[in-house]
Amino acid sequence: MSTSKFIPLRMPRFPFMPIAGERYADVVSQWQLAQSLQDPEQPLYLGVDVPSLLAVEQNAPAVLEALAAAVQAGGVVPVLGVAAYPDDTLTTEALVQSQLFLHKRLSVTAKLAFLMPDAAVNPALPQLLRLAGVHRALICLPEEAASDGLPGAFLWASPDGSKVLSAVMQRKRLAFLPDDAINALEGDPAFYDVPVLSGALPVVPEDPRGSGYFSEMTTTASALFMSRRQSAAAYYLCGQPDRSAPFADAVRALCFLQVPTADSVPTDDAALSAACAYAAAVADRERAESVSYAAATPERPVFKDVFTLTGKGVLLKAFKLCEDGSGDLVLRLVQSVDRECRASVLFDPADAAFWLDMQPYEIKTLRIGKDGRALEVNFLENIVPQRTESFPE
Amino acid sequence: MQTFTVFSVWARRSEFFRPDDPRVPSALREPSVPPELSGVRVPLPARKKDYTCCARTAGALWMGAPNGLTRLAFSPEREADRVMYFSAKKDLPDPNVRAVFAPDPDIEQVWVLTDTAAVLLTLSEISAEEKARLLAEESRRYVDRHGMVSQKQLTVPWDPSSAVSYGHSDNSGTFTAGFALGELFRYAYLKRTRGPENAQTVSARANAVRATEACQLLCYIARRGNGFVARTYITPDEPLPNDGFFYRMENGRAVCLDTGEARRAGRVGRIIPAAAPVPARLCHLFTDEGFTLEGLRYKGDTSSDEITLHFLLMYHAHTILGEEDPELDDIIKTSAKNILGHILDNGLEMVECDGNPTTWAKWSERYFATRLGWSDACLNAAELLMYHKVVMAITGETGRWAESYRELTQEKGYAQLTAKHDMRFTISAGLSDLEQVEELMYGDNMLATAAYWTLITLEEDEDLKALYRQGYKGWNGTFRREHNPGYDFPYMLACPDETVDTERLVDWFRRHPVSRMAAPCGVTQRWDAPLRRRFGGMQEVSWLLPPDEHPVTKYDRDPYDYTDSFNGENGEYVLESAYVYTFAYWLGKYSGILADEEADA
Repeated sequence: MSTSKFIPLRMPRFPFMPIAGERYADVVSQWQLAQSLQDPEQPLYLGVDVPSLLAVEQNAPAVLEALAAAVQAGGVVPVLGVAAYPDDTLTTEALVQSQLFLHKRLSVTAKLAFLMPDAAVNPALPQLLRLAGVHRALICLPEEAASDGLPGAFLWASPDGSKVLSAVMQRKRLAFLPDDAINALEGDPAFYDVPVLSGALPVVPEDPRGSGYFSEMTTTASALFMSRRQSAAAYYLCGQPDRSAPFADAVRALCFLQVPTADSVPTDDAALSAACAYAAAVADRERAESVSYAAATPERPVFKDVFTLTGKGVLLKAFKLCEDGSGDLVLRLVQSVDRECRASVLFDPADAAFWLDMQPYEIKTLRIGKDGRALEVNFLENIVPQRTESFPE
Repeated sequence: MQTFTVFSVWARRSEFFRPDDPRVPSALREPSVPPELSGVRVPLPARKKDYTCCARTAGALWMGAPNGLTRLAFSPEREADRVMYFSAKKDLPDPNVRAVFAPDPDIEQVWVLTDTAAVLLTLSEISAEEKARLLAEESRRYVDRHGMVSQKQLTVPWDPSSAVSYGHSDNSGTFTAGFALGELFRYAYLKRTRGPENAQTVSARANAVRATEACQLLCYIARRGNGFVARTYITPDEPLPNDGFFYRMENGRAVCLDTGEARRAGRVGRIIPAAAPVPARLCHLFTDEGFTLEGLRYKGDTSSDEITLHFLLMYHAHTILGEEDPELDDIIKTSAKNILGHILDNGLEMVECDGNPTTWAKWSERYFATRLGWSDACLNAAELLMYHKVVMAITGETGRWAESYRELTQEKGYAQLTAKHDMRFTISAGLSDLEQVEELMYGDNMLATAAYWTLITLEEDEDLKALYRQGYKGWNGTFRREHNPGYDFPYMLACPDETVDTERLVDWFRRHPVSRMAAPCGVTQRWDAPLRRRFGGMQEVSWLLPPDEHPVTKYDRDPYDYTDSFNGENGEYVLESAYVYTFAYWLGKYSGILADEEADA
């Protein structure tokens, strides 16, 4: 019997326009942005990428503070834009960095993801989103995209059984979120029965910009974030940047800020002011080439003498320092086959040794303290405080 | 259908002595030598540097640390037995092990010195059937209360003989039905294999009949004459708990007693009729103890938990005992019809004395249309359909029951609802930012088992059967990870095309404790068992601990729970019912899933 407290999303029902970084803002979009900014009754969605927010933080910190205040006041709700790649490690790390950035700078994490069609074809994405704390998703189709067989709302299931409640919308110049999609994602006024889809979704993006912007960004997320690493001991197990791609930028985790209906906007229009200031900052910023990243191949230590991993099918996907700078280690393991197994991990330098049960295709993240005690965490590495009202300590 | 054999199981026994007891060997006080563990590449419950003492037996190295005792087997028969952990207060009085001594290396037995006691710890192998017998006997002797078997409080820790005479459970019917079912399956199996006169067969029958009678008494004791079922009842000598709604019977009426909940509902002092007859056959359960109906107090606000397990029991009691005990069979048939009749007469709900539905016994469309009922609808629909099937199967009647079943399945969509649990539960949990296992009320696993297993067994329409199987499989997300034969055996019987990990079930039987003492275990003291904190805050262990290293509880708790005890600091004062083991084991034998280990004695 369900007794949990239902958490509303407060989704707006007005037209909105997504902008994904400055690269995505063409002339028409910028005109509509200007129109929207002049009309306080018109809610505005802004697409920002984490590196851009970092640049804003460095060059215009007051803007970020204003955004943070607006979020705390409830006038702005962050929505996590997601790009997905064939290598799930990259997608994972992008999600991790995005959510932790939102937590650190805006004191929230996103509960709703915004997916472009390329993301929708990654069958593991529901699992990754759930592990990043996201339980609901909007899948945005380009104007001319075909979506044969894709219902308006559904549960999207990944191979491990994780499911994300998803709704589909058409991204036009002025896009409308269908009422039934909002109702499905909000559970208001009543819950809806929806179909369950699994695997890659039947989405065929036809807008070359919609598909190319993300699919052509083949450089690694880890390379970007490694450039900010302080410790030489931290590294990712990942591939090399592809400099031959036309959009040879570092991969960004996109973060869309969602401004709800007018009656929930603070009277001082803090949210709208923040959005306007940000838009100005974006317009003035340099293009993506200004973002630098580490170029070298990450070195891999010699594991075999100090690290033991057992368990048929279990792979080590990441081994790094915890994102909070505590010096704790973080391991990411995945069960790569359709079989449950009992795994063991021993890491002598930390005097850590523990067992794990791995379900088919499950991803587990372990955080190991300096005393050797291991904690199983989600992608947010126990940095984001967990809810306790459901399960008092 | 898969079958497998459990050849032998482990039995841990601890005897506590004062450290200066003359029976404690002096060798235990000699200087300790820490173990050499540099070549050990398996996780241990303590860090290697924490082990301070050790002793060797032929089969294993026993090591002491501040968090308890570890046994590291050299060549275990099963990998799950390579590392065993003995902790406080389940195996030891306190966790700090200061010395270990093995008196005879050919016996898996050690003396352990802790801060407060010396412990003689013995690890032996017995048969799975012997374990079942020991557990059932422990429950019969110490946990039984007027035939009901749920749990008992002790006045002396670790001493079952100190069990108090009172101690109700909110779900006495549910848990007693579980115990009754275990003994029914035991009786049926032993009668078939060893004959009706065998001493064990006779014992099983007596237990089964007593527990079944106790459950049937709950179906009549409210004396409302309308099919209302009581959760439990207490005799006049038992203290009145301050929870729920209790009604005392006197002179053909019942009065609602003063409890917090009754006050909040404005029901204190309310008088209702209580004159309907109680079958004389059932009254011995309290008259044998010197009581009469006058002064008995029953508990109301009964839930679907109770009703569902009652129906499961009634089906199997009829099947196994019906022919040889027609009197009991008639009682069962009557109560089955009364209960379902009540539900149908009251808009598919069980109603209390004020005409309102009880808190958790609602199978109606109006309940399903609520936020709470929307996700409950799938299980509750399966339950209600199962009640119909059981009534028709045990009475042979169709008529009203068949028409109601037809209407529910073909007009009101109840059959389709049974297949929607996974979808609705995922949405419901997700909209609360919880994972399914956090949202689950763990008692629902047993209700789903009872409902779907029985529904699939009794349904003859292949399309409906396929739909119910689909619904049953929708519970796999919360069931399968437990590797509990009490859930897996019914699933294997209902869905024979599905594969279950029977090796994990063998381990479950081997490692289930030989006593249902609910003493705390050192779960949170282990270094090899990471805490897993889920998004909603729920805390679990990262791997499924063996049953003898996790706190004893009923089916309604999470076996992954990161806790040392489900009974607070004083779990050694609680003795739980054996049904968790006996239901599973004897169902396995009765159904043939558990093959015989050897020729029957």
